Amino acid sequence: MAHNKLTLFDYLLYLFLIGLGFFFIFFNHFNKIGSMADVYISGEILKTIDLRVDQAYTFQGKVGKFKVQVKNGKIGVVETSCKEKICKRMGFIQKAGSEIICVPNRIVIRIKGESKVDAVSQ
Amino acid sequence: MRFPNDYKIKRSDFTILYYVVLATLLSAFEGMIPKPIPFLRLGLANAVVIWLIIRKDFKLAFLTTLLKTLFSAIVLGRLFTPMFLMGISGAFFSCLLMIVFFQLKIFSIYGISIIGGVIHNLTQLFVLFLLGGFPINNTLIGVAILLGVFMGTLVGTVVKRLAS
Repeated sequence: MAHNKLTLFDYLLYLFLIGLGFFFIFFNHFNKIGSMADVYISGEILKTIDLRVDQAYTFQGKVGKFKVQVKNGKIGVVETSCKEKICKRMGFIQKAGSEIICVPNRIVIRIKGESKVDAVSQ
Repeated sequence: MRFPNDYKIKRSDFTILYYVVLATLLSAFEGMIPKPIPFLRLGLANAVVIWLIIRKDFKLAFLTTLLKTLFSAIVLGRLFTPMFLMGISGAFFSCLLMIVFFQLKIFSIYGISIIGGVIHNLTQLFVLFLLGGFPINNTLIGVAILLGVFMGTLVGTVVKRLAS
């Protein structure tokens, strides 16, 4: 068959798609460090957390308890009742626009952007 | 008046049956494999569709794509659920774009296969976004693209082995 040899365009396609994939994954790493984080449950904003204060917060998600910890300006999930624990494995985040999502609990933690303006006004 | 015996069963009738059953089995089988992110699939059934595309059976490829999604949804018990909607739109657009890219005649099996995988995943994410209720962020898009490339390469290798 004529179609089983990799062509130049194949390599270009590979390069383009892998580049695009990594670009999307590391997109938020170019952002500034945020100082506030919003916690959403089922799409509604529940609480705004100040990342400059180290503290633990406990929320009631759709499946069960959900514990969030702020540490050194970063926020992460330390305890969750969901089965997959993907949110816990996402680790601690600090860049504006980055998110931690727990699908079973319907919880989203999003770091607010434009942290510089907020810091000045406060 | 025509009697049942008057209908001649052509060879092509069996051909489509064969491909649809094969694709359905593969996609139902992979639907049973647990995955970390449930809607990103392996795309084993895509191998059948690519096989038909490189043989220039475009009509058969389309029919197989749509029927395999329908039948595997029945087998897995998720007909007309959001998951089915995502699956059928993903399969439809990936088949369409694979045919377009095949007709350009500049890509090999691998190129066509990764296009199929990436488009499938991205269409699913887009439908999920339209349905709402699930947060889509750029990390998820990146993972969908990379998984599509990886699975496309895998499926491409399978088709290459079949073709040679």
